[in-house]
Amino acid sequence: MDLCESNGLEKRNGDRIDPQLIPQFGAPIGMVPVSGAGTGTASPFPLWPGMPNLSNPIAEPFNPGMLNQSSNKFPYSGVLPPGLPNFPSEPGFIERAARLSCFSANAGFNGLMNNSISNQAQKGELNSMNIGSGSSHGNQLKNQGSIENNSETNEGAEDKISNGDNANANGDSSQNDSGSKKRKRTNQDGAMGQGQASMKSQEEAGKQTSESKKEVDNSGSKNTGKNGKDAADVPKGDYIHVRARRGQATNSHSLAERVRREKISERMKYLQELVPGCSKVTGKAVMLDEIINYVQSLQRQVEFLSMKLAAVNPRLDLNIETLLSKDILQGRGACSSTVGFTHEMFHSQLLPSQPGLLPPGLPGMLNPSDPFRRAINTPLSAMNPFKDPNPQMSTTWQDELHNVMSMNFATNPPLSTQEIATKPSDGFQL
Amino acid sequence: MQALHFLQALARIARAAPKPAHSARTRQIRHAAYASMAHSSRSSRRTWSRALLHRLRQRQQQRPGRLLTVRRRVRIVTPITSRPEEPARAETLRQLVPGGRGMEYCNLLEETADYVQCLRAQVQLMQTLLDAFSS
Repeated sequence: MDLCESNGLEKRNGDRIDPQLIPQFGAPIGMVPVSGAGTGTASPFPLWPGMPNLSNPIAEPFNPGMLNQSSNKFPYSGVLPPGLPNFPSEPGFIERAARLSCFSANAGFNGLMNNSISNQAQKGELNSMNIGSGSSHGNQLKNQGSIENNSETNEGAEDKISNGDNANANGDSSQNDSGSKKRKRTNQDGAMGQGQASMKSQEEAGKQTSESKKEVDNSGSKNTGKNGKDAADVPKGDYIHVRARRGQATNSHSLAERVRREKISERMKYLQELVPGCSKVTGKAVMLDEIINYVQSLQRQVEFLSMKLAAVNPRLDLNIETLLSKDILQGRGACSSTVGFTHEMFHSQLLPSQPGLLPPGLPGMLNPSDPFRRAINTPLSAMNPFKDPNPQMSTTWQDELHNVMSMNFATNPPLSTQEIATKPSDGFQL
Repeated sequence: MQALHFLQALARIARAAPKPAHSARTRQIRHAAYASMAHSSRSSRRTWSRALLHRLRQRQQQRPGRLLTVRRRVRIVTPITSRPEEPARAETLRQLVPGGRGMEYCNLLEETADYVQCLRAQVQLMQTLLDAFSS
């Protein structure tokens, strides 16, 4: 990378990349200098929205150590601006680009650096590459647009070289970093320094990446709607760093599809945990059937329980409901005071009626309240799986339940009053 | 939050003039159950909760005037979102989960998970209440 840097240093001022800089390419790349988004540089390239503007355009991408790691994730991808003029198709350039670009969704830089590793792979890809600049442009745009984000689980195959990436890396690497021309030059220089990327691939990569980058912002789901796996290799450069696995197609369509498939499988796994008895089932079709059955059974259960509750409901006194709602309405904040008050109310109501009853059956009576409380707590905690249930709320509920239970028992034989009578003495076991 | 809402609704139903019709109360309770599900804090941001509330309000508006009219919305559901890689049962799932028609398969799964969680919590709650009230 020293070579790159040194080369790049010379013309870091955002000038267009001189052909002189890239003598091997034979023809001016014609790349529009990459412009940092809103940076001071006068480069005309707009930074892709959302692309991080790296402050250090030079150092990072060319770190060979970085590039060689498969887990590298560059926050940008080498993308040429859409207005990038066509690259002259130089076989040498393409070769170099192909070799240099190691396709990871993260960055074309990886491709740049690891070209040596995957020459053959690249060449194979190169052959399938769509060399037409225009087509690659379009392809890249679409492909990149469709690349799904998030899955950073893919290990980048450093062999993977996308033409676009190479070109981008070379030409647009600066874009990745900061969209500055210097970047680009440096990348190019770096590529040149490595002297391996083919011009064509770079060219392609550059064009495609830029175009695809543009579309990255667009929905990632476009991908699936599009052609699918083209023969043309498209740079996987994307904001969302998805790496193509070794031996897998680097087409951004396929990449996005892979991401999408992974998302779907991840959600299926989560559903598998939710639905009881699905851990042994494998396969999406059977799982889906199970899920459907479960949802249907849950809905039927809701209907059934509502029927039963409708039958039970008339039994409740209006008092109970009123008190309950009053307690609820008074809020969780005032739970303790309210509860205490209501309990006193209960006692005042009930105690005079049957004073002095001993609670022989108390232990038996008290039992139902505990499981009831616990049962209520369970849905409470189930309702907040991701955070602790509001302790105040649960407290309120428990108090409410106590009230409800006591009220219910009050309407029943005197044994209930014993429970109520003894309740204050026990204190509230919340 | 869910339980709170449900109990409030139950109280409201019990307080209201109890209709002798068992089915009417059933309907009201079921309505309350789904409403409380949709209002739970965890699901208020979900697509299915909005769709569910919308559906409930629609039904409520129909109720008072016409007892027997079954309003059918002729909704031409073109499988815009159906994709080749979707399994065949995806359509069934879409019908089950409220608001599932307009979603992509990926989001549909996520919504289903949330919906299942809420449904389960609701069922548990109702069961508990039933046990409490009938014991």
